Amino acid sequence: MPAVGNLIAHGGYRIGRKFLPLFPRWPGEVALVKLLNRQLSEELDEGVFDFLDGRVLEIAVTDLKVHFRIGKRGGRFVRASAAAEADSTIAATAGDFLAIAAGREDPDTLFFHRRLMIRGQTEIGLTVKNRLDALDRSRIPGWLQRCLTVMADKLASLSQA
Amino acid sequence: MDNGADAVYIGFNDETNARNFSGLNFNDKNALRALERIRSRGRKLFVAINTYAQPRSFSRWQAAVDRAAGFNADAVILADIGLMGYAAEKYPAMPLHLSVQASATSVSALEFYRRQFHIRRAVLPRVLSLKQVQQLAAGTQVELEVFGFGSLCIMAEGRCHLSSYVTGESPNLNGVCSPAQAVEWRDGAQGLETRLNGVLIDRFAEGENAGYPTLCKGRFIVEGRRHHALEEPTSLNSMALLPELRAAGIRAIKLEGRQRSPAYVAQVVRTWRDAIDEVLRRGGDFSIEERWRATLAKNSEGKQTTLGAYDRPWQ
Repeated sequence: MPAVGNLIAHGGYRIGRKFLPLFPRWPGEVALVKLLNRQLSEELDEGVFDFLDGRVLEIAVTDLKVHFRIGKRGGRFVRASAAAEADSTIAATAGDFLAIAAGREDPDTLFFHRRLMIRGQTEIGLTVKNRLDALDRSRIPGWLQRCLTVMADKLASLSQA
Repeated sequence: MDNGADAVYIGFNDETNARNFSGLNFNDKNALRALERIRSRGRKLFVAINTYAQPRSFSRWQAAVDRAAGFNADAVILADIGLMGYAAEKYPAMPLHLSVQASATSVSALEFYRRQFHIRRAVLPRVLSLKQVQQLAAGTQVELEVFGFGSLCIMAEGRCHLSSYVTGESPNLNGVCSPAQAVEWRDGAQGLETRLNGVLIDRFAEGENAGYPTLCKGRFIVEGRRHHALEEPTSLNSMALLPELRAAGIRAIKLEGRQRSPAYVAQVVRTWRDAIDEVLRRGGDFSIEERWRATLAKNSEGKQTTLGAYDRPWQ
């Protein structure tokens, strides 16, 4: 079973790296914004992410050459307009982003090892990192936690291979 | 707590604590939630109100003490002597801890705080050697806590003004060392540059690890040589001294964590819990396991750890 999983992860990653840069940005951004709005609704109501009002945050997945640009308006995350310049950019590989999300890697350590990059306004990037670190992970649905862990491990073994 | 901490210390989200960074710290709702969880497990919650109060806004620091007392925290960790007076008078039953920021390094200083404010515990400055720690422990009635693991700075606790020299804000008065809005990372022709309020403090070549964006960790050209003129990036690790610290009567080990991710805190706390349990079981016959060493090395700044001042013969 692990062999099949590895094969799927390998194949999926290779295909993704080849074709994802060719796709338009909007389907990924729509999905991301939808996921964030659902998962972080309580934090949004509490104003935890108000610092993003009128700002543009760019998340760059370097190995997949995918850039998500999001902002916040009226209490919800929104896609940023294509013309707007990013106020802050956070960049890393897909594997490192997943390792952070799964709680496997310390983002500061990745940063000092030059695997996580913050450009533009440091305070926005740092605040995003701190807010996400402070989320109660037990509130992430079990399937998503398992999914993150499995994918993070697969991509970590892939990058070591 | 899940990894074996006996107590957790938190700060409120304003300049009353020395980790006043955007996105960190607790509002009333989160603090209460944290307290409930901690109490249900029989552990303790301390509140760090460890910056120096400004005369114009002393009421903000008083309010922080009121909040901590209001939800019945197990202790407040204070540095400001005026605030300590306020807390001791208004809430005589609430335990006071003397913050490392107060920088008490002698028996007479510790005993003064005990007589005046009935402090229960003091966190010792990292500048002390092991011998000095042992002498303090033998001479005072105050319970002592020392630093176990964490990024090392220049060890002028409560008196460091390097950050305000460049940015106008310091840990002691504003709760921030190198405030994030003053930090800029820029890709230059010669590598990644760190600027603090526009001042270049370091430059990292391709493949070279980056360092903390603080003045003390920057590299400067002094007498023709570019090097870490103030402080080498490193983490303090006093694990090897656990048997001696225990024998001296040290009651608590502090692990840095308020500005670090859950992944870091979990690994470091679990490792120290295991090591402390081992010392309690075996006493002087203690040796550091290889996996503990590896975990701490992985989580240390600049990939190296040091005993810091503990093993310096400078008294």
